[in-house]
Amino acid sequence: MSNPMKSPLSRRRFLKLAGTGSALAAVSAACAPAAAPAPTAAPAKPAAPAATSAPAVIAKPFAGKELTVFAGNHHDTNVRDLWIPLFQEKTGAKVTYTSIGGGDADAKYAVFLASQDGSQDVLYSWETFTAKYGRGLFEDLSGFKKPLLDSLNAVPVKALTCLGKQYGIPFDSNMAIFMWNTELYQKAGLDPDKPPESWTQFAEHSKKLTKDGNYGTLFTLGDGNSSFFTFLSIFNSTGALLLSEDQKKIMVDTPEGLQTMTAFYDGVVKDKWIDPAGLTINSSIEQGKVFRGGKIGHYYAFPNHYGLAMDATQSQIVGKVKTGIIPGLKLRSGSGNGFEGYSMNRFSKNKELAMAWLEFTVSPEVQKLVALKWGRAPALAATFNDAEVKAAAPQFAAVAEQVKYPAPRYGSPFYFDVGTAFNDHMNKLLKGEGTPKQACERVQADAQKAIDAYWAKVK
Amino acid sequence: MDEGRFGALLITPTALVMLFVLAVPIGYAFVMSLNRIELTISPDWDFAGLKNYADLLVNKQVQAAVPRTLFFAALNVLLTTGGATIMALVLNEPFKGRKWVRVFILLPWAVAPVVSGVMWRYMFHQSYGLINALLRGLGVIDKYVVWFDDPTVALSIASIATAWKALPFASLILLAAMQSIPESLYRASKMDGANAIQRFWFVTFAHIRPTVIFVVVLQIIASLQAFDVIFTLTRGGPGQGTVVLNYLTFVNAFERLSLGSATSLALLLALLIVVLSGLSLSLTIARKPKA
Repeated sequence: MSNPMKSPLSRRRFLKLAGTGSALAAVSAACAPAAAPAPTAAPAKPAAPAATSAPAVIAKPFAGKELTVFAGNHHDTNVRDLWIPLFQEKTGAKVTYTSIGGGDADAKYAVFLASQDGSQDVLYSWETFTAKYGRGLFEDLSGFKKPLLDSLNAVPVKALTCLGKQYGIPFDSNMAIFMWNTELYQKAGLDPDKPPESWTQFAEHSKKLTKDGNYGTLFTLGDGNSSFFTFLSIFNSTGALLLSEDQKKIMVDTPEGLQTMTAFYDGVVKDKWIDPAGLTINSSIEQGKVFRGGKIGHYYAFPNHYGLAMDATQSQIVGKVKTGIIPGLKLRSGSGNGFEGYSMNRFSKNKELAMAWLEFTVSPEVQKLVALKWGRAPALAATFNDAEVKAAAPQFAAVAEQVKYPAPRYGSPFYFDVGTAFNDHMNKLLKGEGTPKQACERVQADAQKAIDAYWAKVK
Repeated sequence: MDEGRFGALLITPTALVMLFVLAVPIGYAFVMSLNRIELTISPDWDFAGLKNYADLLVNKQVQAAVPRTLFFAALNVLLTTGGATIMALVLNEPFKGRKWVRVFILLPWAVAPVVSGVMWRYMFHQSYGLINALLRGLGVIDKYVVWFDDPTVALSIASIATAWKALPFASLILLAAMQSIPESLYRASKMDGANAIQRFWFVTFAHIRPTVIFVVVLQIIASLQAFDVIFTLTRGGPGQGTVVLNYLTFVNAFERLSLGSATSLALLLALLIVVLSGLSLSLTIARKPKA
C-alpha cells in the first residue's frame, strides 16, 4: 500500500497547524449555540447541474475538510496525479489518497467491512465489488442527482447497481472491443480493413492467422474471474440472459450456453486457433502483452490497450493496430465490461464531501481526462462527442458502437463461486475432457448449487 | 526465593506477552469459528456451535485440497531436506572460495516470498519464460510448453520454488550439525574399512539425524502454511488444481467473506500442523539412546 500524496508542509509545521486548528474548532464548538449545526454538517448546497455541466463544487465549500480516497494502484497516475489536485483546487478540501494492488483490494475491503472501518470515505469499485460489498460496505446512492446520472452511459450505471440499488458511480465505459494486427492480417491474406463481423468469420480469420508459431487469438481463462468474463464476452453476443434479474437462477445449460461453450471448444481443442496459454492467463494486461508482442492476430481488448499498442516503448506493433466492434455469435456484437467507478463507504463520517467527489468524477473536466490521459472510454455520454477526444482517441468510435450491444458482467455476492464453476469445467473441457454439453451441465449444476447455498443463508 | 520460583518470575513477562499475542488471537479465532459470519449478507455473528467444523469435513473443496496439500508438503520436504543435505555435504568439504559460496547460497533465502513466486512464474511463463527459451534453444521442444496447464506440474513447480527458497537455511543448519561431528570418528571408520557411503550413513547421518528431523518439521510447517507461492504463481489454478488448504482458508475469508468457515479451517490446519510436527519430533525422542 502506498500513500504517496506529499505535503509541502514539514511534519512539525503540519502538526502545529493541525493542533491549532483543532483547538480553534474545539473553542468555536464550545461557544456555538447548542442547536447550531456542526461545521461539517452543511456546506453550501451546490446548484443542480445541467446534464453535462460540471457539478457545483466551485465555491470551495469544503475548505479545511479532508477526504480520504482509496483506490487500486492502477489509478495512481490519473486519480492521484491529475484528478486530486483539481478536486482540491475546486473544493478547498485536502485529499489523502491511498492505493493498493487491484488484486488485493478485495481482501482489504473485507477487512474494512469486518471492522466497520470508515476511515476511507470513497472506495474504488467495479461491478463485482458493488455486488459483493453493496449490502455491507457501500452506501446506497440511489438518491444521486438524477440529471447527472442520466447524462452517463446507461450500461455502466446499471452495472454498478445490485438488486435495484446504486452502489457506485462509474467514471468510465470501459468495455471490451475488437482489436487486430493489420500486418498479421496482410500476411495471412486477409483484408486489414475488413475485420470479422460474426463468430464464424472470426473463426475463419483466426485459422488463417494461426501459423509461424502465432495463434489467431487468445482469451484469458486462468482463474474464475477471467473464465467467467471470457465466457460472458461471447455469451452476451447471443442476446440471452445468464442470470435471472433476482439473481436466483443461472442459465448456462441452454442452447445459447451450449453455443458459446462449443465455440470455445472448437477454437481450442478441435481447430486449435485459440492459444491454449490462455488457460493459465488471468489478466487482460498479460493478454495485451502477447498481442503487443505480435503473437496473436486479434483479440477482445479493453480500449486503453490501443494506446499501449501504439506506444513504442511497450509495443512491437505500433501503427499496425485497428479497432472495431466484437464479432458476435447470434447478434452482430456483444461484449464484457470492466467498468470502474467510486463508491461511498457507508461507515464514512464525511459523506457530503464523499458525494462531492463522486459528482466530481463524472464532471466533463474529469471525463475528458479519463478519455485523453487514461485512454479509457468515458462514462459521460457527451464526452464522446468532444472534438479533442474524437481526434485523439479513435478507438472510442468503436466503444460508442459497442455500447449499443449487451455487456452485462453479472456481478453478484456469489461471483467467486460461480466463476470457479466456470473455470473448473471450462478448463477440463478445453483440455479435451468431455463434451461442451457436459461442460454446460456441470457448470449449471455447480453454479446453481453455489447460488442456492448463498440464498439459503440469507434470512 | 528458590531457583524454580525465580525462573518462573523471569519468564512471566515473556509469558504474558505470548499470552497476549498468541492466546488472545487464537481464542478469538476459536470463538469466530463457532459462529456463522457471512459478511456478504450481514456483519452479525450467529452462533453455530461446531457446524462450521462439521461442514468442512464433508466439504468437497476441502477434501480435494487435502491430498494436494500433502503432495505439496511431501515434495517440498523431500526436495529441501535432500537438497540441503547434499549442499551441506559439499560445503563441509574444504575447497577454495568456500566462505564466499556459503554467503552466496544464502541469497534465495533473502528473497521475499512474493518476489520469489513472481520470479518463478516468469521463468516458467509460456511465451517469455527462460525455461521454454532454454529448452527451445537446446532443441528439446519445438513448441512452447504451457507449464501451469497441468495441476500436478503446477503444484510441483510451486513446491520446487518453495524448496529453492528454503534450501539455504536448511543447509546451513545441517552444515552446523555436520561440523560438530568429531573428525576422529571419520578416521576410525576409515581404519575399519568403511567406504564413503558407509561413512555418510553410519557417521554423518547418524549424528545429524535429529537435525534432519528438525528440518523436516520446519518444512512440514512451512508447506502446510503455503500461501504466498500459490497466490503469486498459480492463484489456485488451473481450475482448482493447486488450491491447498491454506489457500482455501484465504478464499473462504477474503473471496467468500465467510469468516466463521475460514477460521475453523485455519484452526483445523493448525491442529494438523501440531499433530504432524509432534509425530516427527516423537521420532527423534523415540530414537534417542537411553542414558
